[in-house]
Amino acid sequence: LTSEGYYLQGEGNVSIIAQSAASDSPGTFFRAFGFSAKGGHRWGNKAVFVTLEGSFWRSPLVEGGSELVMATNIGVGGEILSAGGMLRTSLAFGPSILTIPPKVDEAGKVGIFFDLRPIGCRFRLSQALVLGVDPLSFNVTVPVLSGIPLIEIEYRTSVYVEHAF
Amino acid sequence: MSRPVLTLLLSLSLLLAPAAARAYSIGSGFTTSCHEVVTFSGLIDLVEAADTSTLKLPESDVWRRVAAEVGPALRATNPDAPPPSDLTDQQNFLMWSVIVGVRAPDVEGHSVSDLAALREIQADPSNDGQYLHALRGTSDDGVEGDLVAIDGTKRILREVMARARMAKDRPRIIKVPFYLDFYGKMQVDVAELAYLLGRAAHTLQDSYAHMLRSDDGVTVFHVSNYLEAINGTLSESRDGLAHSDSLDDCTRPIDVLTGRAAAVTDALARASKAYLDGDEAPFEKGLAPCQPNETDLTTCSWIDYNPSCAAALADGDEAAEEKQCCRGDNAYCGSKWLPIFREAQSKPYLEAVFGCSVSPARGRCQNGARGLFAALALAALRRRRGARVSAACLMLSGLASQPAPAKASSREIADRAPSPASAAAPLWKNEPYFVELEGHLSVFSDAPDTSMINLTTGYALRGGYRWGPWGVLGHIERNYWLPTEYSTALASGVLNLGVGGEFFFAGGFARSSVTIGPSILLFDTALHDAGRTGFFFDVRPIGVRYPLHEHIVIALDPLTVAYVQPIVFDENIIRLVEYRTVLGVEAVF
Repeated sequence: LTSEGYYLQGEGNVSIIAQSAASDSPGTFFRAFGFSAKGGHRWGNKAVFVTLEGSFWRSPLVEGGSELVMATNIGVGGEILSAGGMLRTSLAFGPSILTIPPKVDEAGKVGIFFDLRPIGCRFRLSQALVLGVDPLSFNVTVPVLSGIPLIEIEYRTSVYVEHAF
Repeated sequence: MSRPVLTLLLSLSLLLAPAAARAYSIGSGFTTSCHEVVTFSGLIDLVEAADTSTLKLPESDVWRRVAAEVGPALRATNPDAPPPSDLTDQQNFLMWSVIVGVRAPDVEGHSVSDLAALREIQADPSNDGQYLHALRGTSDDGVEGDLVAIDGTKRILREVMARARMAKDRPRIIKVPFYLDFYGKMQVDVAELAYLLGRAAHTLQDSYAHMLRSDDGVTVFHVSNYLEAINGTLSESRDGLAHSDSLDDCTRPIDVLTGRAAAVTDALARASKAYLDGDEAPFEKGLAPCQPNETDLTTCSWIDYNPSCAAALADGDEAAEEKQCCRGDNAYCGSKWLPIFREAQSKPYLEAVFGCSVSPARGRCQNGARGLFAALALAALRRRRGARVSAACLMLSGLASQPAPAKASSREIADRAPSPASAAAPLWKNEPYFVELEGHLSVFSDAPDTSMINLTTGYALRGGYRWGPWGVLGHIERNYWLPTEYSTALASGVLNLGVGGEFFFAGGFARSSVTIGPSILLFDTALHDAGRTGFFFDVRPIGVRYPLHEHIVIALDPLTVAYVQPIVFDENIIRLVEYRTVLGVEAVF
């Protein structure tokens, strides 16, 4: 779990439950989801990586209904393994590019994002494969910084598979 | 909660709030209820005198309970407002409908701290989206732009009145969205006509906050610009003065303007009555310049542009335009409101919050980034010196090191490397009982259609029994909630009583737990009384633990999720999804 060398990760994430806006609804489920690929180098229990992520979320419209919004996040980050590689903490940040805009914006605007994963679990699947679960992480994506900024806050659950080289 | 902590949290909340204060501010936990005050002042005599005996009331009394809840907050800055008990039910319903209407253009039933909705409503790039608030559209440049914006504002008013006329033919009660603390966006009953009058009043009142006027408030000298100001693309000579938060604040020394705004709101209501009866003359008179022999100046020149400038523009007389029109180079004709207007002008939002321009038009980042880097550097220095370690640093640095089993009772065990879950079991047999005192805090909501602020806090006492990697526990918790809409006084929230289980792994260094049980409302809300009982559950996926002493352990759960729903079976329910950070001290024995 703490092997030295290069690795690649493929990941899916989802916001399982969020506060609902309507006073007659218990919550909003699966409002946001995303996919990412990461590649990095590990030295014992420390690693640095680059990440490319497609982040999607549904944004309610004032007049009713909702629209799908997407941001592409490109970041660098670091991670620390503990408990013999069983636990992972990571932080990533970088530019966020508005890819599918809400109706008041235009695609191509560039902002920032950061992604904090306080603690996740890792399980060895084979000599080269690791399955990881980050049960709750905090992601802030701000693809539009001008005017009233577009701020997307997500508490995510993520699952990834890591291949070590 | 200590005052410094509460102040810090409120400050954090305030960072997210200013977008709500774009017009005469509407009442909220952060802003003064100027629109409501001006409307109340302008309409109370009319409402008291009106024959409302035939006004139909809604079957549901939700409107009455919500009005009773938010009314005191909205009237707080208007000591002259009569208590609801002085009015009949019909009069209260009429006033309620107008007040909901006058708030609507700013939030359309959303939270004042729902940035996603506010940017759609207030940063609407269409010109009409700006005329709704008596502001310039993005293409309205120079002094000609003043006239275009004024015409656009008048057109918006005419359109609302036309809608009201249609509604008159089918007088009815309609449901409109309204955001109530802890409940979220709900539907409330309003009288459609009064609601539309409120919407029209909003636009008219905004013309006294967003247009630079003569000293007596009658003549418009200039129309300000919000959208290009917050986008960081504003050039004052071309796009006009940036919108001013100071002129939105009715507690500033602008009594002349707010007084006239209230007076013309009253005149608008009277003209509306005639309009709905088929006589458009009083309404059109309000939008036209006053005649020389006019004795009641509140019935005309509601939005009357500087007539000599308008004439020069109409004649194409550049020399006269240069002399008569109000611009920056002639101090906007010496309006005495200009110094106040310039006090708190709108700017890109993040620049306003962090004092840092991130707009391409403004160039590089200034103080904010410098401050941020300084804070990071300071944190790094502190860590290097080992002087003070924050909880976050403790967690991160702790994770980087080989952890000791948290409940280690002997050096032999403490020195062992973490074991897999199956091997951890023996560590927990000797001292099976535990008691834990903990505090929790949640800050942000993660849904864009609610307030972004979900500030809840509290403390809990936990205790239980463990065997091997497993444990059972009892949980007693106080959970306080911070409202955002009409107050910032911490609400008593709920008492949560739960039972649950926990599981240790990574040699006792990591813990997962689940708790579930009843959730008891501890305060009277607008719609429900204290004592109502629902349920809550608390999921803590992974927390870490650090031994301080043989019998004392620090426990940190960096992110947990708690679902709290004290009201279950009702049309309007309370449910909070709280993403918390929990820090506790545990005694094992």
